[in-house]
Amino acid sequence: MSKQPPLLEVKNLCTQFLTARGVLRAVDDVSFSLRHREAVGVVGESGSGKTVGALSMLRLFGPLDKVALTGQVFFEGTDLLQLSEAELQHIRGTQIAVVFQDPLTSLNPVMPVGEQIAESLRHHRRLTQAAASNRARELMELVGIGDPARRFDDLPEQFSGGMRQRIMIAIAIACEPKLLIADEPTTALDVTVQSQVLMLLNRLRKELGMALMMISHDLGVVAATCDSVQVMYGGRLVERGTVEALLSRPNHPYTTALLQLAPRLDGELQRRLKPIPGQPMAAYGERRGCRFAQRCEFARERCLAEDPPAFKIEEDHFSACWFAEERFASA
Amino acid sequence: MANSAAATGTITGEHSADGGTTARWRQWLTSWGLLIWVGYLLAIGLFAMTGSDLAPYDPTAQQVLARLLPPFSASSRGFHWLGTDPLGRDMLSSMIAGARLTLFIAVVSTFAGMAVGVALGMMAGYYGGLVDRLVMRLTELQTAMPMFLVAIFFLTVMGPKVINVIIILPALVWPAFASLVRAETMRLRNCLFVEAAVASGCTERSILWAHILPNLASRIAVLAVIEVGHVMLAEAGLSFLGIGVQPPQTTWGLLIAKGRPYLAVAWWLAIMPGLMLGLTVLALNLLSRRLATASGAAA
Amino acid sequence: MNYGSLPAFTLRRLRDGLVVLFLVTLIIFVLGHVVGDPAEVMAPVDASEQEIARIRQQLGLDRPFGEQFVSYFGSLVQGDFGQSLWQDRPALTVVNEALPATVLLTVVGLILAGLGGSFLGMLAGARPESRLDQGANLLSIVALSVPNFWLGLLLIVIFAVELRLVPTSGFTGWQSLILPAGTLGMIHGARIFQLVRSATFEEITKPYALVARSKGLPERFILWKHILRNTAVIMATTVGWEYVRMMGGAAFAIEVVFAWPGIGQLMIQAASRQDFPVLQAAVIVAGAFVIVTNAAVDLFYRYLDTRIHPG
Repeated sequence: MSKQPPLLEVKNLCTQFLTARGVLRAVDDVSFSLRHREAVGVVGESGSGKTVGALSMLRLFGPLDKVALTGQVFFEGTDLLQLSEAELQHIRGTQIAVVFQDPLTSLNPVMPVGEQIAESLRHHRRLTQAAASNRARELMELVGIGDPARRFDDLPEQFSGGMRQRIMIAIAIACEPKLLIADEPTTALDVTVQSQVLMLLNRLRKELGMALMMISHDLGVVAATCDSVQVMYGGRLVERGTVEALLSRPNHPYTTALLQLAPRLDGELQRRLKPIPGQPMAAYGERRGCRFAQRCEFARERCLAEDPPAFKIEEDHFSACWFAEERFASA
Repeated sequence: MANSAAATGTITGEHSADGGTTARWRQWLTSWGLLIWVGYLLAIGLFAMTGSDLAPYDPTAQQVLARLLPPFSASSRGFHWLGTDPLGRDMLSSMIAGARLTLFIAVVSTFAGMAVGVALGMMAGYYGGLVDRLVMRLTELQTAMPMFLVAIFFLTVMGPKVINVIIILPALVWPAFASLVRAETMRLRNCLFVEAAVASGCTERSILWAHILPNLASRIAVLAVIEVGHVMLAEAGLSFLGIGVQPPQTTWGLLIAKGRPYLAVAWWLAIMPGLMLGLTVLALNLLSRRLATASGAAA
Repeated sequence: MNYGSLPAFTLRRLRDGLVVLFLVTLIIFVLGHVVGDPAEVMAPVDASEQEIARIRQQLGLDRPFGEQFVSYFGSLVQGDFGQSLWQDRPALTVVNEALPATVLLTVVGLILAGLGGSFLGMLAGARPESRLDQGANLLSIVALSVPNFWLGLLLIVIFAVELRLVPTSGFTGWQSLILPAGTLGMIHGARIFQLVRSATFEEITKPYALVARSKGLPERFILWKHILRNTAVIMATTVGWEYVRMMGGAAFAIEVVFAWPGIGQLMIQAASRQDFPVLQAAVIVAGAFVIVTNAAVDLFYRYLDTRIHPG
């Protein structure tokens, strides 16, 4: 696994939106890599850039968004940002697929679900309608939808939330992509259904040998599905490491703050949750210094003035804090 | 907090409902376009109020030697921007003179329809229950009726007089006002400030007038501007068909009708008044859109 | 949401349509017989009071109002709209002769409006703020601001008078259909364009459109396969309403402009000749078209709704 070049290599990705209020830097100089079959979780609050970052790799923006994208996104050696729209369409859905958050609005309400699954197969793999429909039914079975023959023609609204998400997953894996991006796939679901869907994702990932990028604000979801974790704040990557390392030895102040916010079953009963003071600020215009400095209880002058680079504190564990090494040593 | 990237759908939330066209229009309108349209409307309004005083020539002055001159021609009387009619009368002056009655009919009819519609709408929205059902039924029936056809019949029977036109035209517009006002009143009725007014002992009448109506005013105004345009077109249609305004009175619709027989030889007779009418309605439409976005943003 | 069963709704809607039709005939009757005085109108100009009274008695106008209306309505239902004063034939026959021309004109105009407006609307809505979008939108606002009969006159001047491509008026073969149907197509197409455009725009900003793009499907494919399914309903109902507008009077001004031998022109000729029976018949027949189309659109919409939401 280590000899192979990485599946995905992102270098200095920067996504800026031109809005009525100015330039919004949603993703600010993010770099990371992902190996084949690796599962990485991307954690952060709303506005941290975790979703925009992932969708930027595929240049999936809204019809009215005015975007400036810089950097490089190497997928199996090809820079996705340099491809034409037509070439990129060959990659979307076949090599890289996305599972979105809200399955109700993510499915076309007036199209039968089977057709929505079969669509990619007909378009990308040039299957006939019959062949694609058969495969779609197989996929429905694979993701755990009972009676696929009958339910093939049903509309999305005739399914429960969990089932709809399974359909979304079936759509995503139809062409057996190498990378699956899951954007808050369980956030809109009931708790009981969440774990089922996560287990399904785990199973499929192993069976199909996919890499996974799991975007979530919920550390529990990430811990259940991923090998490593990236923490984002204010459009930047602030910490990256294995799940084990981040959970037991969190380094960046934001990560530690996030962790202690998660209520624990084994903690003291009366422990108060310590909220992170302040609000995430809109990233308009030029910024200097650590993005988290204003809300960080450990911040010093240097934090406000200079952008901290990523410091390596152990093998496969990076933290973008001026005091990363100090904090690691004292932990 | 509009910087959060939506997990699905559009990435940023910063665009308007109609695709940003309003934003573009806003830029265009606020630069110099808006000034031109407002200026145009003011000019028309001025013409309407002063009648033929501002016309370059007396619209009734015939000059047979200068008959049927195309636009931009000169006669012994002077320069005719828009040409002359079969009797040598200056077209521009006729059109300016026609503005008065056209606008008068349109504004008065819209106002009458507005008054009826707003009153009924407010009652329906505020009192609810039977009153509401009655008004809704009435509105439905009225909307389902081919009102323009009934108007044709009405004018034929009652005679094509200006007063009859003003009587029947409001019937075309009051349902729109009633619907709007009813919906808004119902919405506002449940707002806290109305409860406060009731609690402090205001009478129903004063609540309606002093509290609810001012909030509706901007939306009513936006609708009124558009409806004036619609009524203007309706009157033009009726006059053109010969069952609206009759000579010697003039409206733009009537001028178009008078010019029609000469279409092959003197196209400007029919086309120019229509152009003025079209520009006026266009100005009203654009103005109303501008008002809508401006007041929508404020409300 | 429970809309109530389809059969119940259908009955109610049809009943409402009949009520409106009844009201229209009532209004026409009231206006024609009670408010105006047909006897006076139909008598020669220099008739004496007795002569007018005699005519009144002949026409049965001295009977009580209710009785008059009942007999009037009764004859209507049997298809007897009275005798045309101008052509001395049954009024309904006169109207029925003019009907096919109107139907031809309005249907062709509607097809042009529907196809043109929908197609352009989808393209414009899918590319917001593009030049196509802004240009077409501006054009549609202009088209809806000018009087439709004026646009017809303008087109006559340009294409018939100056360029001599088509006849100026009358129903003289299929070329004479181009301009009048084209005028209708432009004006009514403009409103269809606006509605389809905004509906399309709304759809492309919805999540499922983004998901479709993430599947690697090309834009045009998404537009015509995914988006169209969602905008089709709006297209159909708007087309229906535009037909209502056409038969509610808009098409008739065009008929007059182009001397098209349809109901509209008939109406105006009857009005100028004070031929009340024919005018009544024309108004009621056209009104019936309006009412029926309205009801049809409502029923169609409701029917689709039950199909789309079976669950």
